[in-house]
Amino acid sequence: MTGNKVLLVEGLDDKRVMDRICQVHEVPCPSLEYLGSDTELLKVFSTRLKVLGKEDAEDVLGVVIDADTSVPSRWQSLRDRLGNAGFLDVPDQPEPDGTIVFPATEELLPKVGIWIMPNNQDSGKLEDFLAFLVPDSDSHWQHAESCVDSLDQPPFRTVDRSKAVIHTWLAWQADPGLPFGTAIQSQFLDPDAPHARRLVHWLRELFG
Amino acid sequence: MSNSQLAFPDLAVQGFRRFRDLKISELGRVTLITGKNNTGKSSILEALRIGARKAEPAAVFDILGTRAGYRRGSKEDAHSLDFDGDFLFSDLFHGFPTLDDEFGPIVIKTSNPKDPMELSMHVEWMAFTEDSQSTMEFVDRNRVVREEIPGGPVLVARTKTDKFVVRLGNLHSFRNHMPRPDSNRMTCKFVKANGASESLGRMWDRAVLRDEEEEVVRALRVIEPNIAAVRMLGGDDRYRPAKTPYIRVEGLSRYVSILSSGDGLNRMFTLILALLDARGGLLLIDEFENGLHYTVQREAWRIIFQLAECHNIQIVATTHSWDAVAAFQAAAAETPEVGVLLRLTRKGSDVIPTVFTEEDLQVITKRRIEVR
Repeated sequence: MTGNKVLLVEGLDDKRVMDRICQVHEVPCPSLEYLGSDTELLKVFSTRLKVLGKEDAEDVLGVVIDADTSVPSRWQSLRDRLGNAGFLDVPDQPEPDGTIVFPATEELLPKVGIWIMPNNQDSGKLEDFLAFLVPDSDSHWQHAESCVDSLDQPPFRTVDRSKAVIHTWLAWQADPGLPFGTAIQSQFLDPDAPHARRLVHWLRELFG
Repeated sequence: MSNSQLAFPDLAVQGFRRFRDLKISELGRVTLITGKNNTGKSSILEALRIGARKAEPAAVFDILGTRAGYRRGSKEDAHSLDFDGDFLFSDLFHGFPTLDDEFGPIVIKTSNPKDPMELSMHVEWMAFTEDSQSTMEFVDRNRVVREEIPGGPVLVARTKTDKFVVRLGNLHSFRNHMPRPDSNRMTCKFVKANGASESLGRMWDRAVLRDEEEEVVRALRVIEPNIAAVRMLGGDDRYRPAKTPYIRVEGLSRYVSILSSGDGLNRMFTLILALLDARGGLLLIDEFENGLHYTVQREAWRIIFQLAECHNIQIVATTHSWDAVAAFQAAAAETPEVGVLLRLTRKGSDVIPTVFTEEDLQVITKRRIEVR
């Protein structure tokens, strides 16, 4: 397979998680770029849409971005940029299993995949996706949640609750405080959980 | 700053060279065109030149001459047909049509709100009546008529207000057969890949008359910081070579030819004279980077952006070089004027334009994304 395969992600944590999931599931690894923020990611997305697909019809551009507070508004900002680049018939809503859009044959555009964390349906972010990877048998997750929730005047913002919970939970593992990628590799976070399999299926469809 | 006050805020070209139907949504105060060979970078400059000059015969002749589409002085001139039976404008029109083909007009337009320019050009057959060569009529362009009535193909150019007719056989003498107010033609200067499109001596004289020698020296110092002065020497009579530029370097007591100092100074000299000449108009630069080492390109763009703003010049340049793109972006980011990068890509027989705005340019440079 030729062509440039690029996957844009927001932060270093996203990059490490995606890297590890690709590795564990032997998905052909795209070139991963982390942009530092969603604003920068959207900028680079627009520019990449203009650059890719020009010389090689097999170019692929993937995006993994947090829904944050609203999936519809996140989707709209991506959809607008696809429209500006010349994509027609972009769906009104993201697909629950990750969206893939193909350019019309006469357009010099890349194939594009979009995954909105955590699951293309709920508001949230990478850490909410990772919460789905906590094994069902785990006995500490609920306790970690209630610990975080019981804090009097927590210093973190409400939107960062899932971050606080997952880091708390990771601190209690046999190997305490592993970073996300390593936690996946060490199977504390289950790379075969249904949500992870859905992401992997999207990655394969996109880059495979 | 918006680009709406530019003469060409955008550009549409139909039926010209390899452009069947090209639409460029945005041009900047300064636009750099990039793309592989044979994507039509130079043809965009030609279309702009023809549009700005309203199909002025001198410009059309120069364009045909540059591409060796017109063999001046050959006996075929008289018939406006070359030895293969193609008419001379064949390679200006999309698909290299012959006179027997049906082919669409060349249309060049821009949506400038103040002066929405639209120029169309097509070929007709002009017949002479028997009694007088000064009477003429247009007849249907088909073979039967052509063989029966003496005459020749003419290029008919129309704008909203004017109609110009150019006999192909007369092209080299720049004659028109209809009055054409020159005031409708905007200033358009053209720097070819290998030099100016007119004599450096004349351009220099105009710079001197406008008292702009110091501006010229300042630009040359980008290449050679120790330049003290520049002169054009020679050309006094026909036994001496034409005027050529000479420079004097600080600490030296005599002038030396600019040609002995490398390509960079000569290129910069041409560029600055063309810039100073193009005020209020359009400046087209083919293969910007020629002769300019990448270390001086950013400063060269800086001067171009400055003078473009100061003298209300719209500039469109082409390049093959990633260094030129990077230098262009850096200079564009420093000024409020709009810099646009235009990339041309071939798709089958069509050319697809991609417009990169300043925001795109920042991403491209920061992330080292190549768009050559």
